[in-house]
Amino acid sequence: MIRVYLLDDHEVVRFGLREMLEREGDIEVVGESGSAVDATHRIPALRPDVAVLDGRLPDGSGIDVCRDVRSVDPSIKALILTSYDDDEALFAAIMAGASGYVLKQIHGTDLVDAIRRVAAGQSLLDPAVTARVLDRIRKGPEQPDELKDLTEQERKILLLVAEGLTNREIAERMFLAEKTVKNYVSSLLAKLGLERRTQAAVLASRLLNKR
Amino acid sequence: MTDDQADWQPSLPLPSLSRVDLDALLQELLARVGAVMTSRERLRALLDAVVGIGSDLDLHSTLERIVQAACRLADARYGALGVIGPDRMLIEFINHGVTAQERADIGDLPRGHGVLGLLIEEPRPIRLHDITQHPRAYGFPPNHPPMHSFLGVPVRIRDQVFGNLYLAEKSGGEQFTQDDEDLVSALSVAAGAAIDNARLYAQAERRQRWLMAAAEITSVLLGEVRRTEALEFVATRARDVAGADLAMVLLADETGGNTSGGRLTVEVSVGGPGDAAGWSVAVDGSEFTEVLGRQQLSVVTDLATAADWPAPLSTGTALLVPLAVGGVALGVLVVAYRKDSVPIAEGLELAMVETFAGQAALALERARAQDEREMLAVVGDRERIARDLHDVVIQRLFAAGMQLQGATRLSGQPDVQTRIERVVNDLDTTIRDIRGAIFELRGPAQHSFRTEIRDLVDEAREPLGFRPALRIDGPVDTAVPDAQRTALLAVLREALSNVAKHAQAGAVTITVAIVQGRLSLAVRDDGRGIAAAAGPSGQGLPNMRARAVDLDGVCTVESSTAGTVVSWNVPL
Repeated sequence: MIRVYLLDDHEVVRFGLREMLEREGDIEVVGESGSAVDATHRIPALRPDVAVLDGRLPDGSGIDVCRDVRSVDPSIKALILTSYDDDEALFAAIMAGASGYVLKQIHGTDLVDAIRRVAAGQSLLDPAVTARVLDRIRKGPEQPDELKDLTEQERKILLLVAEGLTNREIAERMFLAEKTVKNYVSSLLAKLGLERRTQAAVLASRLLNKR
Repeated sequence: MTDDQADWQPSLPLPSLSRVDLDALLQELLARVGAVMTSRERLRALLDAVVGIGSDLDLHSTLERIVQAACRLADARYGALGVIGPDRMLIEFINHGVTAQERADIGDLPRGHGVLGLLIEEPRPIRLHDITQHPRAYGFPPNHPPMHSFLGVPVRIRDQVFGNLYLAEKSGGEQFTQDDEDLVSALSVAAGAAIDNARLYAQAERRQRWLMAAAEITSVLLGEVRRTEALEFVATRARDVAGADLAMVLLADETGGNTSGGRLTVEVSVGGPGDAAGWSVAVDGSEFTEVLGRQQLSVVTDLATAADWPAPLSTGTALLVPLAVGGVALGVLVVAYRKDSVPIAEGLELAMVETFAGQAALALERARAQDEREMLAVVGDRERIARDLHDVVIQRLFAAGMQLQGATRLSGQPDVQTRIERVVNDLDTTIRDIRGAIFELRGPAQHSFRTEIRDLVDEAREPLGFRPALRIDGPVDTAVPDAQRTALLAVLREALSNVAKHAQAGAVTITVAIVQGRLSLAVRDDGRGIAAAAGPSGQGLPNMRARAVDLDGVCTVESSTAGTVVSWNVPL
């Protein structure tokens, strides 16, 4: 039996997913929640094989949840479920230290298959693509996008994140408190536009910086 | 006494001689009386002239009146008033007695060489029997009327020599007298006061107009400001008030005027070349460097050489005024005068222009802030709509689709299953469309591959007559290197253009996907097929193949009368 935890703020979505997964026979949904805070506490206690996490939640992000959970128990695998586009989903998955991402699409993406593969220890992230993301981060200031706004320390941490290290591992490697790393990651998410905030705020800050 | 005289008179020994003397004395007395009368008349004429020239406040007509009065007073045929410019040369020459035709024949006005220059060097009255005989005589240009007797008197305004009054050819071929000199000198004192007066008046009036213009801008500030309107307002007012011929507003580009390598763009031009708006000039190496850098007004003698303009300008003196708010230079206000015209730019006036420009900059800043606020409002709205679509609509569709799919298994009837499948497919397509809409609503990052593909497909809309359907699967922005990007865009463009030219299609579906480490593109149309189309349709195919082969990929074309599919894929 593959034990699965579902985190999505839409009850209809959780209901649909649960129904679909449990029909398979080899998958058991051991818990579900619509809140990031709730999930952060319950997932390590329930110790599912795979946590299916919505990328954005009203009280936080699936990325933070994933990192917190995996810092406590790296054996828990995670899949990021998102209704944004692939590029954003991919980046979110890498940032979260998840094994892959699944787009909210009824056909075309097989969540069941993804869960089985992840539970078996496979990563769904294409190593070549991940390498390209790492490369982009390393290039740093040459990049004309959001990455160039990062500080040196943030960039270092982003690289370690992208290599798949948990917050605890990053903290050990950089001689920082785990809490500090967590804060850095949150600020990174904010800078990279991956947290729940309006584009208007992003634009406003850009306009303000320009002056 | 009378008795004495009566007794004495007959006894005088030489009565006849005394009589002669007396006659002479009487003659002289009469002449003196006449002279006094003439002097009184001339004095009266002088007074009249002074009153006359003092009653006008327009500088140019005042100068003309002074010349006329001087000619009348000294009985001279020709008179002129030369205004001395900052370079100690004559910049204006107002003359009297020379006809318009003669003046045209002479050509250029005197600049102040020769005897005229002597007066500029030493501002003292000068009287000559024959100007042509003076050692400093420079010679008249051809077609100049002959002149001999000459009287020159400087015109002062307090300590400053404003110009010189020149008179020539006293009537009757006579010489100018000391009286003439005294009278004209007296007149020149009055003239100086009148000129000063007229200047101060003009200055006060212009100052008033600058203040009014600045106030107008302030009142415009309180209303709603549109950027272009505000700029046009600034340029038009500046030109009118300065009495200039051309006014332009140039704004600095994103890098700002404070850094090197920046450029200025002409946003608005009034009175200049028709196409000046939109011109772009480099700040480096131009007169604008200082204006922007130090935010200091600068006066240039020739606007045409002040910067590397894209087209020649035929303007003379210009004021370059910084448009700055809070230490940030937004741009430059240029006010330029025609070549050879005489701009009156003095300290006070320059200060007024700067004040005006400061107000204008404030107006621009406000207009910009308003635009920004509106833009933020629009972006905020779009973001809210995008979020609603994402958080509510997609989630519900997704949930509904999953439940439907669950229902498929419950139903044993194949046709029900097929129908449900179709609905689920439709839901998926709708989710994709919404995702695309969200992407567009958010104003995606520039130069993203996804955006480039979308833009290209949008461009094809017009030649095709409909919008092709587009489906993008996979992390194309992240996973696709530059070479593959460029190639895919070129192939897509080629394929779409072939469809538009030859296929007579009613629908086109484009699929871009990343599958198992490969980037694939499929362009499917429902047109008449390549065989039906004339030869040239195949022209793009070798190109598409070559672009695949270059990247170790493949390109295939399947065509029938029911349509054509171009499949292109390369490894990543």
